[in-house]
Amino acid sequence: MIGTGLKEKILPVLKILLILWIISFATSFLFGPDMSLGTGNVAIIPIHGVIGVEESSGLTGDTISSQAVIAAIDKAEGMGVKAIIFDINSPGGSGVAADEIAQRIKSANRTTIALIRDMGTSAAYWVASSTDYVYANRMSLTGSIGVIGSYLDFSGFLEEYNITYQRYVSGELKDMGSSFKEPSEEERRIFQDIIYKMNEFFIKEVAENRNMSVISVRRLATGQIFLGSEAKDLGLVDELGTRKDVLDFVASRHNITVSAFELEEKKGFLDIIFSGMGKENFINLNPSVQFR
Amino acid sequence: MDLNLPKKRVMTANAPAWKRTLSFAIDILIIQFVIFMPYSGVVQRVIPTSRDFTQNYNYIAANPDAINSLIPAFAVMFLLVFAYFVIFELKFGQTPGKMIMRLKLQTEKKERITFLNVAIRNLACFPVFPLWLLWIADPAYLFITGSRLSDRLTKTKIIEEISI
Repeated sequence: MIGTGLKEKILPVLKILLILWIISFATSFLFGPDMSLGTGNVAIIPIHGVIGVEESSGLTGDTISSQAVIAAIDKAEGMGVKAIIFDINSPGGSGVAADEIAQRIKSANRTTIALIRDMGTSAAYWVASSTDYVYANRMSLTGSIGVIGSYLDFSGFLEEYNITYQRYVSGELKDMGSSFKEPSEEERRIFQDIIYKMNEFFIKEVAENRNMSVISVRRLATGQIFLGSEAKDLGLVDELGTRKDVLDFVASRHNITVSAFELEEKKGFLDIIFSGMGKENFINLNPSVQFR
Repeated sequence: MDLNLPKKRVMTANAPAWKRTLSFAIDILIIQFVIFMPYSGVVQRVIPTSRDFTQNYNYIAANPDAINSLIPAFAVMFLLVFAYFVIFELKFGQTPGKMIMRLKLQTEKKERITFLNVAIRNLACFPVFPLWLLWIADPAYLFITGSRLSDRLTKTKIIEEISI
């Protein structure tokens, strides 16, 4: 009979359910970026490495995506913190990613503070400038307001080996930027024009964020890097100090006992396994290679 | 004192749709606790909490990578749901829901239930095209004909006992 033996079945049924629960619980840790959650009233979000729209080097972990930073800000706001500190140690990166992060920071209804550690240059400075207050160590490297774009031209190399580039295009500029041919004057002009236009976005954003005139920011936008102490004199940084100074500032501003915690994206095991090789943007807002 | 009472007389019949629906609902409730609940942490790690539906929708729309990172998790989760039905139906001929509702899986010729029988019956656990079409076709077929489409495909049926 169907209903009979129900008591005898209970134990094996519970065993199977327990095994399924253990498997579910154990495998659930393999997936999804994990925000290590602490508790406290001040969230610290690290922005370390090259800033990109997506993480491009899974194993080395030397990039940070705008999506990860935005998700961390969302998380911090959801946790009801009083202030968000951005711990910056980055040479810069993608202009689009910097703009995405900066716009999200500006829309955050919390006190936002950037703390530039070793380096907060170029796109990383763009991000820093969008916060309410910018702190930097007196020996930090910052500034480098400017845009750089480059690619390798193999046309001479191909010619030397008697390899020809067969070109079929619907328009003269369709293969602009191809590494297999020397750029024409018009292509050079267009590329340079893009660089100038992107630089203008950068300058205007910094001017607006730092409450400076566009002219004064443009004067600084030579791509030059500045020490934290110089940046303070130039108005690019509000205060010189360390993490402790920033926490003291938050405590006095909000009249609270600060309990800070880090919100950092942790990768699941499978995320690391499946993370692919990244793409390089043609136009980067990276500082010159000497500082990377 | 032993009473020599006459045995209860029963006959088997195809289980009605409402009982099957109820047993399925019980199974889903158990699955919710055993499989979905541990996995809810994965979703919370990807989609920030303290958001309403609209905010979640906007967040997902703006961050397609968030959903992409959930796909492998969902794949394993539905594999476990599939395992739940397959293991119970293969071992007992009943899932816990069917045990409670006193229903049982049986082949039309009352032969031994095979892995293939239960695997095909439960293919609808995987939310991929065209299998998810069974989510619509199976219940519709059940309420129209009294048996699921997958019952027909595997020549199985769900029976219940009726006291005479």
